[in-house]
Amino acid sequence: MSFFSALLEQPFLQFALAAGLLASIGCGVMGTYVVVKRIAFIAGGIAHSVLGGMGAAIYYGFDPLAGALLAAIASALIIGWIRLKWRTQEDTLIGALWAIGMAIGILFIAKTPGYQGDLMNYLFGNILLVPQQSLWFMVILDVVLLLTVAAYHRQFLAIVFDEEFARLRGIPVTFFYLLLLSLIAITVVLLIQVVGLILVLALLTLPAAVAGHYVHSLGRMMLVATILGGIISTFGLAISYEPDLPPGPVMILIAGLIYLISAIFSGWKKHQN
Amino acid sequence: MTETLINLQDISFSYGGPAVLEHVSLDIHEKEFLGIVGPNAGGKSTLLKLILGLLEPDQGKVKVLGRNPASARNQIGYVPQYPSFPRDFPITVEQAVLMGRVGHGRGGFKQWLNCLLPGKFMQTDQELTLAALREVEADHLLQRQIGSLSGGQLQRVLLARALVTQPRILILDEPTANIDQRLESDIFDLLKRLNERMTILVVSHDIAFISSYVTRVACINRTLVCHHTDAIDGDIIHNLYGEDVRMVAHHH
Repeated sequence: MSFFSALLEQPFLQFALAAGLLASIGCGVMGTYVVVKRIAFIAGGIAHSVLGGMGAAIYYGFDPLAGALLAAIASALIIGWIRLKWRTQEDTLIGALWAIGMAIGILFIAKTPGYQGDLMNYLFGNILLVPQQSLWFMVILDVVLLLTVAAYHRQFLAIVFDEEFARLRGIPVTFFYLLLLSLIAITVVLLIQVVGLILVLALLTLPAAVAGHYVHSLGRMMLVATILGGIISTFGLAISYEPDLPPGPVMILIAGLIYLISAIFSGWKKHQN
Repeated sequence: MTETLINLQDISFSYGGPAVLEHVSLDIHEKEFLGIVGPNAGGKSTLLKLILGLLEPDQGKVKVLGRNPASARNQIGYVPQYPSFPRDFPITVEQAVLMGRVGHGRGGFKQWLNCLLPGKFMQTDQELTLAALREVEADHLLQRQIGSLSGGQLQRVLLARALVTQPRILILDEPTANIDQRLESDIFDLLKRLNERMTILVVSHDIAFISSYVTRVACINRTLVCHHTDAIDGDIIHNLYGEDVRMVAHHH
């Protein structure tokens, strides 16, 4: 109860709740593509190498979120290019980029006086510290995301469903694939605010995977996953408030639990039929 | 003389190792129903990929509709042997067939623009999708999930997806390899009907079966072994497979 009364009085909690809900939109919409296209490893590579950009931004005195956005899009383009050109060594190269990005970030942060403490916040997120201007930044990212998906959902469906057929139809597969990965990069930046870059992957995949147990079209999966993401972040915040736990890991555990129960339940239901 | 739609001139190709195809020359004319037969790993699928422009020949020239294959491929409807999507992908039959309408066009700048066109499918796209499904007798499957289809039903849906692109040439790679033999003749009867308005190339391992449907057979085993309109006899089978294959004569 005290969470909800505190919510009415404390602006930082209101900001945290808003950040959670804004991030859910990205996690529901882009998470659906990540799950059906089975590119969680690629999304993980993008998420982790983002630390390089954040570290560099901090070292040179820019906004770390701006650095994260640039780094995320750069790494999305590099990873997309690796996948399209060097398919046979894809997992080695993405794994390398994953670690190299983090190494660069940690070196930058280590050489920035007084910033070491914040490293934990980037890695594991701290939704309670989201400033108001970051919320506006998140709103803009969500709008970009939704407009692009609304405009190009046919093309995105064509390339995630059957890349070979799309290429034979003359659809510019490379362009739309890189665009899709860039949108995933934007989502990663949205989610870093909430759960940090190490835990991003769970929020990106689990709500959409649970949605996929029950609904069977991309549009409905996006809707259900967004609602589920909103529920997970709100409950994560509420549950962690009183015992003063970090909200990010609590959200991830809730997401994991929901996935586990849902997987068992839908497996059982399939068995019944 | 009907128009030559596909022209292969002295094609050789290898995947970096031994030659898969050597000195293959073949002309395919309008409204032909060409069966491509030969042993496994004899180069049949490679030949299709060269025609689709997915591979480039090491030597020789491929022309489709007088152009290079990559720029002509939007006038080819292609039905792969194995669908290149996961069977549990959350998509209805209707949506899957509609994918053949994304970026529809006859090539060139206008089609490129169509590919970048934002927004929803048009009414005509929906109508053509239904018409294509009706043609393959699968319109009752419209709202079914792709994962719930049987092998034969999926094959019809893939065929509808190729037809909705309104191709001049239809290319099928082993269309009946994964389905019930009883349904095999249904599919080929359907192809025979489609042949009235389009050119069809079909890869098959079942030389005896397709010979009653196709207008001509090309036998591929690294080279173009035979190239016949006549009935297939023991000599040809021997040349093609390099061993005596007992033929079962059908008398109806």
